[in-house]
Amino acid sequence: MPAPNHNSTERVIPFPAVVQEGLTKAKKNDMPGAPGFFFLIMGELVIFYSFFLAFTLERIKHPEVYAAGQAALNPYTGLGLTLVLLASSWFVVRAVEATRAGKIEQIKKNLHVALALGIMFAVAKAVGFFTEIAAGHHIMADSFWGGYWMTTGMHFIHVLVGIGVMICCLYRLKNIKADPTYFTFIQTSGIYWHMVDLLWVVIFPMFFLLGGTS
Amino acid sequence: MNTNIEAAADPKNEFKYWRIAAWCGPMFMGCYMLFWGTCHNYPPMSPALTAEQVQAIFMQDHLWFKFGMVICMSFTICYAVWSIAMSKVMGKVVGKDSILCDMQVWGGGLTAVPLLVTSAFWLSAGFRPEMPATQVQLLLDTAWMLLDLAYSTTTVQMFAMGVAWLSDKREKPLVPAWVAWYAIWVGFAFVAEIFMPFFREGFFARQGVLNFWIEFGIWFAWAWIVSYYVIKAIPRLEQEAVTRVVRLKGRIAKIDEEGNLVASA
Repeated sequence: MPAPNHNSTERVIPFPAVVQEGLTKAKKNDMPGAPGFFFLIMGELVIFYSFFLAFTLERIKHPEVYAAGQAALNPYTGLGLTLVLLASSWFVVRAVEATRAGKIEQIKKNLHVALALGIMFAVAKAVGFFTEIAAGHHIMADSFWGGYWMTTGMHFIHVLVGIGVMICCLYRLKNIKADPTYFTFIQTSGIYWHMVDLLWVVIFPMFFLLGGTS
Repeated sequence: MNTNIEAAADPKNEFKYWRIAAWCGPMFMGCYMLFWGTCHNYPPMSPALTAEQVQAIFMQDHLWFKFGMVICMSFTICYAVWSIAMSKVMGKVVGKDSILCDMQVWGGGLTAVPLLVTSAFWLSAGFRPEMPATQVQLLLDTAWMLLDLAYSTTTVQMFAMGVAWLSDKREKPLVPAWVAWYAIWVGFAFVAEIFMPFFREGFFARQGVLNFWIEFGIWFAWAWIVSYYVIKAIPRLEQEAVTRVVRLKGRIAKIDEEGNLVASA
């Protein structure tokens, strides 16, 4: 059992043996997260990178259509969304670290903040979608908006799944002292959430910035 | 008497038809890859074609459509039988009463329905291609909408098996974790199908790289990979069952020797 950390403001409640066993087992794995989970991550990235490739190829064919579409997007909104998502990921990392250290209150706080930021991103994006439809920029408007809706729409679905996963992390937290798989679960959830923001980090410059002034 | 009891209690009896059912998966996939493909489905006809162009293709190759779709419709049931076999193997991991096994059977069974119905649409268009061109086009479009947008039934099946395989506590799981995650990923990746009706040309259309080559490619690969591991799991399960019975018999024999329980023989 770990020694209590007296320097910390939060009292560390040592996890019971069953949780410690889970933690030790998870640390022995070659890769973080559930075994084989990176197969899913790799698959998701392949799908999204195929979108990016298709979008880029179409852009080369119709530069004027893409320049017009990009001009209708506000890069500051994109930047704001990026910062919100990255901040959310950072709080998930803090929650994973708190799990490793056995600080249950910290796990809860960090997960709540990460969840709130994730919801903020989803709501802002949903409002953005409605605004774009109202302006006539729907999925069938032209090839720029087709690619935009397809890519950001799929990303949006992944964000919603990520929010659901974080809610599961919070729900399972109630029973953490009897749950040897909690660490692996929250670590796997964190990896998924990082994938979601990694994708957005490519989506943001691709749609909002790249060649916007041309 | 002993012989009868042992025959009835042969632990391998439980697995008697499992292999045949599991081999239905490769049989279905082989048949579909061959005969479904002959009907202008590699890649599908573009939605950008005019009704007259679609009709011309059906008029020209109506014999292929009839032949291919009759074979496909005959073998579609193999998909459902294969799903039942997978459910049986899953039952040895999560317990046969687990809801995951039911989801596997229902998901697989319901996947067979659009496969069957869409083949019937293509067959109907090939049966009477001289009907008004827009009706031929309507049959083709409806078939593709149904085939692609009924993805959620297969997703249920994939999620159920993924979760079941991941909960295998054996030292060496029956199905590796990467296959479980692959199944979950394919089920999840199918969500991209929801955008298909919005495109007639390009990457995201029904004949495009994403909707056809990637989505169908990963589905075909999933079916072959899962079939391989499910077929491979059956002898292991038989061996596990035999080992259990031998242990049980050993215990009874020991009791006999001590005189506490006398065997009927």
